[in-house]
Amino acid sequence: MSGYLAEFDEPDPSDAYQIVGYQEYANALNHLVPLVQKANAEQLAAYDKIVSNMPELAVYTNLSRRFNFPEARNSALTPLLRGTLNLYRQSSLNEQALGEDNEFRRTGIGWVIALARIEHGAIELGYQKNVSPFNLENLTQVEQAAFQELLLDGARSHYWTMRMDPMTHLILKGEVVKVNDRTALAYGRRAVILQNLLQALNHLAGATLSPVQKTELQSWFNDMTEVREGVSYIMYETYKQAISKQGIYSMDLEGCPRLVEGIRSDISLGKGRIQLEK
Amino acid sequence: MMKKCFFAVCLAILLGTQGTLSAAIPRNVKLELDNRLIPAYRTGHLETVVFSGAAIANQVGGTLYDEIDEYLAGNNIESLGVILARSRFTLLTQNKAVKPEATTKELLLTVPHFQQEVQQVIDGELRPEIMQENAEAPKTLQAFNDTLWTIHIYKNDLSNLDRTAVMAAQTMQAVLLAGKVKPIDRDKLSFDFVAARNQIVSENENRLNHEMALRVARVQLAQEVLDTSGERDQRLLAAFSMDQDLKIIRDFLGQQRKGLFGSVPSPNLDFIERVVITAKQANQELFATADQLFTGIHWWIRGRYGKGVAANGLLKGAHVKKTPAAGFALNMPRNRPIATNPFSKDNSEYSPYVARRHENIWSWENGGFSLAIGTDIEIVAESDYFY
Repeated sequence: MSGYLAEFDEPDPSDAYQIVGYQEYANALNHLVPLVQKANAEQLAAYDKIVSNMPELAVYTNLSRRFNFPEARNSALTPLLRGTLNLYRQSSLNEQALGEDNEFRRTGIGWVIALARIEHGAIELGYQKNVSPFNLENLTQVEQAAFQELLLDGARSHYWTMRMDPMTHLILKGEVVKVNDRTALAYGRRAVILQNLLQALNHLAGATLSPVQKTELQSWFNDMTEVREGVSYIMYETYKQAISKQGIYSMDLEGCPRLVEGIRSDISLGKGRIQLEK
Repeated sequence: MMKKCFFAVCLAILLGTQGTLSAAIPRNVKLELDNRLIPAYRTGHLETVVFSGAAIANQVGGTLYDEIDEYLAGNNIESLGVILARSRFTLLTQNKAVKPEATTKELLLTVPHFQQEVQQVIDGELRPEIMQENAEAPKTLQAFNDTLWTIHIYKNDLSNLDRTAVMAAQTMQAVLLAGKVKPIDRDKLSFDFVAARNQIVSENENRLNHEMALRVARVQLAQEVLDTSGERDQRLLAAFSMDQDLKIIRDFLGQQRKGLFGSVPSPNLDFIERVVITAKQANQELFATADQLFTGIHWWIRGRYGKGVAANGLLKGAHVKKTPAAGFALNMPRNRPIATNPFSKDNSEYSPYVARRHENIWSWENGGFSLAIGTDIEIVAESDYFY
């Protein structure tokens, strides 16, 4: 019996450039962040006025409230959806409308920058190497509140979608036959993005969250760690099946760089050693 | 090599179905759609879209095209003719040799798409309101912005359609000259793209005429604002407008010096330069911050509303990896976009079409194992989550 460790190619960072929004939001941030960093109150007010007069720059928030399914009857839902919906309704992290007319429409230069930051950061996390998540070192005062709101809303959306998605549960169970390697890696990428949203949120707003909210966020983070472990398991098993075929002399793994790093690290630590049986 | 073999096998399977077509999509064509065309479209591999789409287009016929289009629509994808036309066109505009060459059957599918786009210009359907007779001139800087936006979009339309007409004419000519075209099909491919192109060129000169007049008028209004207004937001708008107009007028006159657009009256550059340079010297900080603000906003709008050519607009296509500059081209909304409430129930189209990109892009399955078994094998991406 001979054994060898997997060899991995570096992920292809140019993949990120194919995604609409990556270059565009980066260019937007490169112009707008330095602009507001050096602006005084009068200048910021003028920027806000210009932005507020441009309807294309409005940002709608609390999109995650769509998971409430207010019109759905419980009996019409699958057990998975029903259970998740109950959890959703009990969550301490939901945002409530301040009034019936509240459409969660936000305007201002801070919202514009915050949206660019979260969109660009998520693409970068999913497809680039050596990333400083959301470039928090450049976070500006004017966008901080907006960015926190978008982080929490984004985290809620990703979390509840994954909870309601049967595929997530197949990955958690390590159902190799039903989940292919590419799909598993994509879900792993989503878990990575969500964990980074949660970490950024904790870093920025941890002190303002209640103990109950912090506990819930921690449990979400742990759930995503389980998803990543499920992805790793599926990759190991797929790897083993593939490597047992005759004539294979090399194999590469590409995917979300952070995820691949994690899998690589697990393998090098002996957690997922792959062996070739002859 | 393995990749070629795989393609060859698929083609063989497709060819084997000749004569057995029925109204339902044959299993092997459906496999081709599911396993290659749709994933390639969703992941931005335009060469594969053309290869696979052409194989299907050349194989099937009659009502099967409708069945296929219906199947694609069920997957939120436009018709076979449209995605094939757009993918081939995008690759051709990058001066790539696109394989396989278009055949008569493919042209019968794609030409109506090209023809419809060109016809819209000829009929004046896309012409902005400001270019209509008795249109009222804008009176505020914001109104000028909105108007010039429509002219800018129209310029892109004309430029794209100009190239479309040239390429469609060349492709059609090559196919017709090669012979083997049935008389009935020859009639369907009789649209005169060369004559249509001449109309597009003429319409572009008409557009330039309006655009230059608007820009000169805007510089004058901006000068007035800078001289009289103390409102910083208006002054920022004025400064950015002046900068932009001077640059565009200079570029235009440069083109005229090269012999282009001779029929369009030349703006008075000396006057414009004098006004803008004087204003700039008096308001240096204002001009610098205006440039930063509006350039940032410009990129933000492209990020928020722009659509690429693949994956229902979420991706730009794999060609961007080799030619980064190609990544700047995006399809933008024709009219000035307005963000709408994604929870509204008035059945209006969502704007932007995806509320958050980060909720979608994670599912692009660009990862996975690639195995080397004496040679490379191509693994096709699949995802139920990427639209």
